[in-house]
Amino acid sequence: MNKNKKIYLLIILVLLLTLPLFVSNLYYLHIINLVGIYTLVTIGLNILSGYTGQTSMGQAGFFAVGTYVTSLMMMNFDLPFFLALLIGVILTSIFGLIISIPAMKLSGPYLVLATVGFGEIVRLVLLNWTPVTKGAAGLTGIPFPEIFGLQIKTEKQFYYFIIIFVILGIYIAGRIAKSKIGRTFSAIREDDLAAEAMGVNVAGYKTAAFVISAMFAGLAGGLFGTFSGVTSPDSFTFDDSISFLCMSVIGGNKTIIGAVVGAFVLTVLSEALRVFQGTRLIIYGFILIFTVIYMPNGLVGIIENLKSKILMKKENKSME
Amino acid sequence: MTHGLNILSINGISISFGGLKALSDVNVHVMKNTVHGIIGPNGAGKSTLFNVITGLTKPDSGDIFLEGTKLPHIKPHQLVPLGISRTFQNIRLFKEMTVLDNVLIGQHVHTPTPIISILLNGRKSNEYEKISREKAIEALEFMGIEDKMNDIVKNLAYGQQRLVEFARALAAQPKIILLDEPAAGMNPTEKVNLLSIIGKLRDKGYTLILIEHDMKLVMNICDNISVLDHGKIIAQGQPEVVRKNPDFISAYLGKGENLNARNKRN
Ligand SMILES: Nc1ncnc2c1ncn2[C@@H]1O[C@H](COP(=O)(O)OP(=O)(O)O)[C@@H](O)[C@H]1O
Ligand SMILES: [Mg+2]
Repeated sequence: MNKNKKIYLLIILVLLLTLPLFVSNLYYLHIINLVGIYTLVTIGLNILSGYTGQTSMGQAGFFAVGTYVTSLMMMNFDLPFFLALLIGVILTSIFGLIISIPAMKLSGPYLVLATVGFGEIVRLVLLNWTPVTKGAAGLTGIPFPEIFGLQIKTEKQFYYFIIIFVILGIYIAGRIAKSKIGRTFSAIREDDLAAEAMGVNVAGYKTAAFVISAMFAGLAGGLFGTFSGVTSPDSFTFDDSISFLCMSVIGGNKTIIGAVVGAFVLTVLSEALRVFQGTRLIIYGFILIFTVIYMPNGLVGIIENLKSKILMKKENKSME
Repeated sequence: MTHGLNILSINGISISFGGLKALSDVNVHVMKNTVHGIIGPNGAGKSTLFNVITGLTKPDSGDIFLEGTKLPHIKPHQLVPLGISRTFQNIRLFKEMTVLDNVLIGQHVHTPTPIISILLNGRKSNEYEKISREKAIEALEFMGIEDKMNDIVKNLAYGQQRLVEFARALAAQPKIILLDEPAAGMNPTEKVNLLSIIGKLRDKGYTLILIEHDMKLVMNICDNISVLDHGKIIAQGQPEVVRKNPDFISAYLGKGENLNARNKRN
């Protein structure tokens, strides 16, 4: 890492840590906290679809499993948050493992349909397994997390709580993306047959990508439940899966930082579009099509393009 | 083809696609440290034979022996550590990735994956990455395209892409390299360069199997040749022997100068 980059990172870190001091409006802080949670889901989705090339339209299903399992562990068994979260993440990963089995046989639109089916099955189970999930009414009174006897309950406290997970998530995903694992994921996206012929265990890596994406969604879900205090199947619909996909694509799904940008833009946009509740998906649809055609690397891709153009201009000037 | 050590034996391979017999009872013996040419008209079954050797296509019958050991029915990726790697007739590179990353995938089976070290940015993972990088660059230098290593593959000229794919196959540290029409789309200068690379690899002890249309190139570089026609081997042996084989002459050269026409159509 060069010196400039270190300084930028430091500035960003300081900004992030002092942000609640500038944002006094609790509603805004609430939105920012949601952005953090959705960022985690989108990071997982980027590894799965942006890197490995397997589109999922069922990510809300993993998100739901993480939310319900973590919340129920705290509510029914009085487990501390971190233990409940661990169980939530492990269980969600197991779901990721199971979904990856049909993913070995299916590709393209068929795989997408399978993930849609998965998301719907999860939602229907949540709706109908009433004794455990409380059906359509959902869970209420999900306990707050506690660290060293300190209860996390205000928006500000949750901000610091969530941001630690987000920074850790970005770091870990970034390490994966930059390593041999990320390179192998990309190779599978580009040409899985050639990757297999070069010695890549394509089935194994595809499974790993599904499990990683499920882990991130499960982690985000665990945070989402305790942060919201209440939850119901309404939060995990097909629309929500599409939202996650939009975050991934619009932010730029071939980078980890694209997840942050996408989650931020889409969450803020969806708050702004609250009045158009019914047409939200249509608007997303248009943005998605526009993105795929005109900016395949998302907003991050555009920023990168601008940066390299400015750099080129500078170089040209210094040459003159 | 009596001299030397047999490294690859293709014994009685047959396969049909629907009603079409793509390969029938094909027997080929490849000697260690030689360049073995597979020639024959379009649709003769040459690429299919490569797919069978590399496990991408399961034959209906027949066996393959690598250094005397029968290859088990395993997944294609498991054959790479045993020492077989290949290129494709219609270049199959990872187009959006850099040249170096493409060749690094060639190194895949030789690069350990220390997960904890990767997550923590540990010394072990960085060291493995560095070693792989050095080896990948070595392969690129061997092809003479190390100056392109940071380019995105899709931006390269066709002939250079072929060399990247060759470098990727070489990076897998194979015993046998299978090249499916490596000269297709290359200009004469590039072809000469390719010939010298193949020759150098043979000198280094590699065994190469080469599918090629360019008869001059084949006769020039190959130690042995197998001629496929309609899925059958119709002649094999040293170039000068094959050249005189009446079956070869009637099936291949007998059709006049259409060899070149065929080349152009490709
Ligand atoms: N996967 C496949 N399914 C059906 N037919 C195939 C398949 N692969 C090859 N073939 C057919 O087998 C024959 C041999 O093809 P191929 O091995 O590519 O020929 P060559 O490489 O000698 O030009 C052709 O007729 C081709 O159409
Ligand atoms: Mg062919």
